[in-house]
Amino acid sequence: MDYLLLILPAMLKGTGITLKLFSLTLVLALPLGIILALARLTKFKPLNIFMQFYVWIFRGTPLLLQLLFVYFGLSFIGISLERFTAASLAFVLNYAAYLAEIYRAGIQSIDRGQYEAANVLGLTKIQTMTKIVLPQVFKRVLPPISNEVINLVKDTALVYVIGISELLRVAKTAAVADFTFTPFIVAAVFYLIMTGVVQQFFKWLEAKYDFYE
Amino acid sequence: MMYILQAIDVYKNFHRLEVLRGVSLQVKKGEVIAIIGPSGSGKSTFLRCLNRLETMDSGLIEIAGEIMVQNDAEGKAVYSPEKDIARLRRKMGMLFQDFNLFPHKSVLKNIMLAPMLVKDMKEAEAEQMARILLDKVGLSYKADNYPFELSGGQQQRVAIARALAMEPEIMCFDEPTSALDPELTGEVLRVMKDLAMEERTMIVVTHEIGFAREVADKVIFMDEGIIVEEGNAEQVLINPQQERTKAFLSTVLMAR
Amino acid sequence: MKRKIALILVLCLSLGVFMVGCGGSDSDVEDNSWIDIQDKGYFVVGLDDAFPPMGFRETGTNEIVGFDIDLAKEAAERLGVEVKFQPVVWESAIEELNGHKVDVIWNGLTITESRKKQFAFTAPYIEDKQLIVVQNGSQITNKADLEGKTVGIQAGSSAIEAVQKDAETYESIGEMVEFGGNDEALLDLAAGRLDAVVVDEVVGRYYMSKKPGEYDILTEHFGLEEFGVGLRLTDQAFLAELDKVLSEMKADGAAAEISNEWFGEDITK
Repeated sequence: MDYLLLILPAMLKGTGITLKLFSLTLVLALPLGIILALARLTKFKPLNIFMQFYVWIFRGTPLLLQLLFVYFGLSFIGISLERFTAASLAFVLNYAAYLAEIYRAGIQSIDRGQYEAANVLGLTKIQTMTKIVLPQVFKRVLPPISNEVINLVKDTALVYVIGISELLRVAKTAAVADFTFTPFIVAAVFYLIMTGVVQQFFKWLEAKYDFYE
Repeated sequence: MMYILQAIDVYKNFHRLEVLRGVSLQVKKGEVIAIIGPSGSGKSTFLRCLNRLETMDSGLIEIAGEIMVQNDAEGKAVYSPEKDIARLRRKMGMLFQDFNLFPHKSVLKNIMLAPMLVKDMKEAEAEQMARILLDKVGLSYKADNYPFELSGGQQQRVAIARALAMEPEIMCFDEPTSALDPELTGEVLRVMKDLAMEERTMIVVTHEIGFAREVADKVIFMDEGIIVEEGNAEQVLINPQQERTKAFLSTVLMAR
Repeated sequence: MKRKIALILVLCLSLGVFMVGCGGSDSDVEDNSWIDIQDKGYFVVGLDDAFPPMGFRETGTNEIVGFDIDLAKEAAERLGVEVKFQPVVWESAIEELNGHKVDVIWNGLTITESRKKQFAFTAPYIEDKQLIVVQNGSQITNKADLEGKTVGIQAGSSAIEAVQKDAETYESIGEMVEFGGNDEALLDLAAGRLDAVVVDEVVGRYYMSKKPGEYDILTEHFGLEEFGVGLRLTDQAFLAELDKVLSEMKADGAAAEISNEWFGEDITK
């Protein structure tokens, strides 16, 4: 117990970094994903092809590798980013790619009749997207997005490779210094709390959108 | 005589398939037109060309005296600017086979949405109008329900109210009852009859021969992308002149 | 346009990786390393902060402490600059260094022939053995007993090279299992899934002090080795300055004092 209190401040600090990366990634990647999905679905060929390429790159390589590229790779061409900036950039780009594919599938799952109905009522394309299509998409993509968000909580542990002391890394340093497994158990509990909150939040959100089928 | 809608020599191909091979139609204000024919005859495609849900290859369409699309020198259909088309197609209401209500909006909001977004109508005003229209289709008590809570027939009636909210000059119906169970078609047809009585201009693509006979001022029989026979209900439905019309009617009536 | 930018970006990234591969080969550039450090007023030590007792997080304060840390602080003071400590991942140490994210790797870094191609090393400051650690009461008493056994080792560590140098033993070992850290290898040994672990003496002794009675050390070992501070190959000017203060610290007993504090004896060289 005393030991727990001893390592708690450091673990909380690590959790703070984990949460900072987590929320920054969400806040930026969620809207970016929509923009990318719309770009992916556009009839403008070059943009479309670029998007396919983008998604291929970011889904086709490990996030760990992307972190190394953004942090080390870029610094060799003179773009030297702060560790946390590099981590955020890699995470946002990576998660936006995954989210874009989820949104895309969601948008494509909306029946053509919805577009036609909006169309004959005189709604503009933007109104059709924002008032008719996307609200329905959000409901449909909630389950896959909640999966991604839970993955994000856990993926933050990867940023140790560029020397950021997030929760798991803090646990590791404590475990090594004291040659004990306890910090890992504490870290597991912390992760479970965070993913638990995420899970409950999405459960609530899904219930909130459950007013129609 | 001024026509509220004119379509002249409409051609439409899907890839190699000629779906419409020169279809013409002239509609006077207040007229009810029924278009019948076997599936694949091009009747739905023709209706969808009228409000540009499909893009046609050649021909002319004129709505309330304004050209929406006409041929260029080479005989290819050229559409007017988007802005003008948007205005013109607002004069046309459209009902679909599978209703296409917005599932995430309540019945009332389904009706209020377009007037508020497209006509900048105030919410209170839109709601008042929506309630009147709901009353008209006999569904006031479903105002706050969501589409999934309604039967198919009720959904189609809401869709009619939703289309009426935009005060269109022409109401187009694309097989409005064919997705419905037989016991639910009656309520929809009843609402449509009421509209016909109000001297609304209606173009109805339908399999309901009885409805066509009762309500239509003009019946058009289409097959294989052309109009085979047209005239008043009695001419086409009781005393058809063409063999194809006779054959079609006998199969439809036999199926009854 | 966007596509073009993306292509350029990808090319740049590939180039970056390529340069990571050949890092430190730009030796014809003028060496301002020492001037640069004086200008910014500090140098950055990259270290694995999970490497006790050389550099690790003190429980409670979460400060980075250790033998290497104290040594680096003393050296910085003598150089008249500040020192900052940046945790890095062992596997990326060379990229951290060549990407100018850190200025030195000071982390119980064993001087080996192959590493000399990547790092400019200071003179050695510690002499250390690669120990063979077994469970207390193990049947294994010498290298010959390792025949057919499973041996744990830290991935990327110099212990691997040390074992490989002893070809006869290396051939006879059943399986070498590489771990992310020595602690994991030692835990696996305690769990009975390993028969032995090869580990730096200073590190091994630290862990054994944490779990008295659990482990045993064989008298035979895989040879002596030396720790040095690793710099960029190009930074010869800074290397000279650092070497100067390190030898001063050895001469006037400051290094020995730090060693006594951490190891209870003077193992500096």
